[in-house]
Amino acid sequence: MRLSVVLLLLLLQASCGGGSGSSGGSGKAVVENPYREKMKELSRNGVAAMQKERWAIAEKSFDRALQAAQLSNDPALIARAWYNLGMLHVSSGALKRGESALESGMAIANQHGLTVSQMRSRVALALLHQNRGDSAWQPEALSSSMPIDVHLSAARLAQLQGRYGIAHQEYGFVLRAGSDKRSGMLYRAEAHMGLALIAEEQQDHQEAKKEAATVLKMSREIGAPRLAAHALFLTAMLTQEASAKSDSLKDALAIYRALKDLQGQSDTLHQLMHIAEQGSNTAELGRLQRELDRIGEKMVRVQDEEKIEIE
Amino acid sequence: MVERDDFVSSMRRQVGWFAILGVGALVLVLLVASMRSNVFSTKFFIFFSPPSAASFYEGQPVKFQGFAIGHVDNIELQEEGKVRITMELIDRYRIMLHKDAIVRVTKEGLIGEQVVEITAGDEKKSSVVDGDALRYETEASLDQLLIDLKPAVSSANVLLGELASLAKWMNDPKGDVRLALAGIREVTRGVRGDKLEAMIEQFTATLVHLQKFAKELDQEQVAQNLSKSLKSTSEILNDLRPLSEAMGKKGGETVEHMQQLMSNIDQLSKALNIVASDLSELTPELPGLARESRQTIIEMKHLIKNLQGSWLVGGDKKKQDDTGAVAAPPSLDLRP
Repeated sequence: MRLSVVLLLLLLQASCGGGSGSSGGSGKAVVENPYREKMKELSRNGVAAMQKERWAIAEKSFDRALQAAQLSNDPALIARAWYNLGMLHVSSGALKRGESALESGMAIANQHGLTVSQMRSRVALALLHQNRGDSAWQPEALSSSMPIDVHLSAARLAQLQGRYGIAHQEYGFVLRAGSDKRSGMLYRAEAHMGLALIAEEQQDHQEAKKEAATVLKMSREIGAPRLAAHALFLTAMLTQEASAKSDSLKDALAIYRALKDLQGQSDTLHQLMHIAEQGSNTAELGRLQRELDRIGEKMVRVQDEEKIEIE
Repeated sequence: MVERDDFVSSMRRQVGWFAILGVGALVLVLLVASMRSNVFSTKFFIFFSPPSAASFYEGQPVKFQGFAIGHVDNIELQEEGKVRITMELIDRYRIMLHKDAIVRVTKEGLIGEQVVEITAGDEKKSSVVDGDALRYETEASLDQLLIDLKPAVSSANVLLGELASLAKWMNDPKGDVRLALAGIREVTRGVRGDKLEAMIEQFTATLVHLQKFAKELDQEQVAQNLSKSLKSTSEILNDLRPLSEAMGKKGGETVEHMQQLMSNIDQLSKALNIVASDLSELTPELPGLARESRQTIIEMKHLIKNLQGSWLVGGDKKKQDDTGAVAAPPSLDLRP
């Protein structure tokens, strides 16, 4: 019986490759480049896998999307495929590969005057450079014709560069333009998180807490665990009362553990140890220290592996 | 007397030979069996840590490229609650396994015993050594994929709910004064077949059908139900197309409804595609396709294309680099 479900779903995938069926009775033939459709389907699959942090499946989909785009010989699709591949590598931590893919996409966008693709890749590369500590491009507020994800990236870039006016403006655009669908809500939740971090940097703790609470509510609604963990951590940082602070940190730690986010676990454990120290809870302190040591060892191993990969 | 002694000694010799040959044969059999089961081969041990020991048992075969190269030797739950599994492998295969080899559990067929499988890893890296720990990777199971299918089904329900409300909205002369005044007969002239009431009935039936499908996901006849639901959806769209082409000329409200509808169809298609993609990786060689269902899906996709082309105002005014391909989400790292 399950085999039949598999069969049915497989034929659905097979149908995505195009087919030469009639055009639904209208009598007018629909001529389409099957590689274009294939690229779009594969890109959608890749993005869906990427949102679930299933990097291997996402990479496979984006690789195949790039091949399909190249076979379609459509520069806009090729640029988009390189961008997607680049963002996947950046998100999964393969920064060198990500940078190279983004540069490939931008070169094609420049060559063919694809303004949106050009801006998208340029902002993504600037964010990458900014995070690496290199000098990065400083864009002014973007035109409203740019897609919402480009505004969001530009907002984060401006925030990291300390240009809070531009950052506020761009985050504001995301909040206004974000739809009520999951993807739109995710962008809005990220904009709220950005605003929370700006408020925290500007010592406006009340505003930061309010924004973090909004992020938490939205993250729970749409299922964005990493964002929820960051919001919980920020809430804990802004809370004075030890038991409430500890509760938020423990919730954040549980999510970071499930996500295998070593940096998140390490940061949270340090904070929990600080609370245990203040409460002179030596048993708890010892347990947390042991866990932190294990995390530290893992982080060293991961860093070594990354070094080997780069070499 | 002498004759009797000779007889006894002859019997003793025969019994002795019989015993020696018997023991010899037994030893030979044991020797052959031991050699075949690699009892005397040099072994080495490697470890891995899966999130759960549920799919493992001691003695479970370990395979590499389809060859049995060892077995699961020990399963233990460590102090911190982590599972650690020890594999005993034949040493002559050690050089074929490299440092970044991956351990996973696979089924030999769609049904059948689960075996532990090791990949070779990157040949440029050094071979594994005794006591190494390998990475464990979970392979999507059919059960998990069926769980993933549930959101797709709920998307289908949303889609059909939209279709139903759309048809009701179109069919309600009181609900829209402009349409009532313009004359609903005029705009419904192009509808193929019977009355709109029949279409609404069809919507309702399809909705019930899909709800049933969601409930019966793990039971019999699920595929047939999905096939029927998709077929009904296709028929509904086919009936709606000429009607909505006429309505599209009447005002922007129709366009908004249609955009919502398109977005839902797209969501359904996306949700089903990711499941299909996973399933095709899991079972790459499945024979046979149900022609009727395939045709339904192709029809549905073409209908969607036609609907998008004919209804959406400004649909042909896309920017040069608005490819229609989705862009990956930005990587912001919003860590406090």
